[in-house]
Amino acid sequence: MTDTKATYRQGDAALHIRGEWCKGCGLCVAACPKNILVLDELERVYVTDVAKCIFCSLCAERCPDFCISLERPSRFTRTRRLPLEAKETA
Amino acid sequence: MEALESARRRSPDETDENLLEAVFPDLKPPLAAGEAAVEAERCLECGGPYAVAPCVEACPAAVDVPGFIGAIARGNAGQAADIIFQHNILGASCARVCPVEQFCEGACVLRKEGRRPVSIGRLQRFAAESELARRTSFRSPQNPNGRRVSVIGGGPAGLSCAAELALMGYRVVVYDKNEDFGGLVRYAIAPYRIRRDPIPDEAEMIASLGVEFRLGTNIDSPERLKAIEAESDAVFLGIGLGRDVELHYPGESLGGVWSSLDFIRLIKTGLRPHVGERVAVVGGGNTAVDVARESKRLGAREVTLYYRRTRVEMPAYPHEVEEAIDEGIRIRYLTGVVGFHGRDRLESIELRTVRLGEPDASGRPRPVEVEGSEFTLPVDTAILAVGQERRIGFLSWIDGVADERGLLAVDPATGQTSNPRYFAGGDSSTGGATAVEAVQAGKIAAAGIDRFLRGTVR
Repeated sequence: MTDTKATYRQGDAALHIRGEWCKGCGLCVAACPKNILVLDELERVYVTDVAKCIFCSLCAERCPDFCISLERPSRFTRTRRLPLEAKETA
Repeated sequence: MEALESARRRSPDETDENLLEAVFPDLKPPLAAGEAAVEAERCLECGGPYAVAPCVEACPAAVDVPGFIGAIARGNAGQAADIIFQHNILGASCARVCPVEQFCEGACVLRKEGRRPVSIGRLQRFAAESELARRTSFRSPQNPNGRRVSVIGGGPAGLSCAAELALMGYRVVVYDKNEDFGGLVRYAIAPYRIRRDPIPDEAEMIASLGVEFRLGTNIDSPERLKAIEAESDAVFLGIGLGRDVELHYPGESLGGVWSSLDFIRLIKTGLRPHVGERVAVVGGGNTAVDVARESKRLGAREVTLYYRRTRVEMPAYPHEVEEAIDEGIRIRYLTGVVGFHGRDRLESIELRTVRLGEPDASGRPRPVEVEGSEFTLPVDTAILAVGQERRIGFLSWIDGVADERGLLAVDPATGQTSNPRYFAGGDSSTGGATAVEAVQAGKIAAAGIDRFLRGTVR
């Protein structure tokens, strides 16, 4: 079941979805390059695995009803470290 | 077979870069600053705190692509170049030669919507080259630690390993048999991708870190190798692959029959091999496709690639095969070579039809000759591009080093071979891959060598 406003967090970044405005058009689902958006049984969108979100913002751009917004206070990209130095930050 | 030396003597003495530019204009010309800023703005700067952007994931060297593109968008090419060289010391060369369709641009999120991907390769070239023109200092080395590493091979793997080690304070000497740095990037990658620039600037950058180069030095005996091993704490092997595989076709000693490496090397050193009207290229990999496209640019009217399997089995990148076809190169599949004919020079090539049989050792269907299907076509030039030999001889000089069918077996996490003081990476262990993968192998080995040597200090 989707809350009226759901917040999904990844570190200090967040994805907000206003479920009450969502009409289940599916444009965000189709746009997501990581395929982490899914419609629930009431045809409202939710995030299946926020850890995979790359904050590309295509979902937010595509939503006709402005349901999705992104918050990314620090811009960074986790680059792969060499195996010897591997110290997982996740 | 055409010998490089006699071909050098026969070619007109046009050794200037202008010839290369005229015959082989850049396939991907550089962006101007304004164009770069506009293109950089298209980037969505993907990447969450725990989730890597797809372009970074796809890059074998894990360059922080959104990072450097964001810097370009904000007008800071200097910071962009710092980011690029932080992850890939040959970032300018790789920007020219990387098959971006297979890596970063192929993974760009914009493609999901059918949009043109961000021109990551051209943006990387813009930042890296414009900054290299101003300075050669991008990273600062640590204090010398008194340990010495020898690097054999001055191609992308060796250069990358040497640079990373020098940055960690090691004293590094790089040996290469050629008179110039760069290995295959310098001598073999198609001139419409890269001529010689920016290799000299990158080499200067690496030299300014304290790396010593001994060019024109061939390690051609076990004694020479042992002497180097004796004066080093560790050795990195970036020796690549050898000469073109020789299949010993009848008539291959005729003038007009080339090995692909010699053909390309002649062009890359500024000379013009004579190709005539009709060219036959034998092979189906990226080298064969490159050589075909180079022949077209050198003025051949008809260039045909002969491959003994079908398009599906061709190892060449699909986008390059399409580009070659667009340029008018013909491809005949299921065709094998019988031999070459001619009086003093090549006049015709004898071919035969093959069909696909059971899978062979490589897993691909084995070509089976069709009896009585031989036919002959007139050609002026034939270029053989069927693969490079493995350095089996060289490997036999090293005690205890394991190889799998002539390729160095290395620990993928450290680059170490089964002889602990020897590390390796690049084509000599992969059997032939991209420059950027060689750069990454050099980085991994540098970290592996550092860990190994600090371990023995304790």
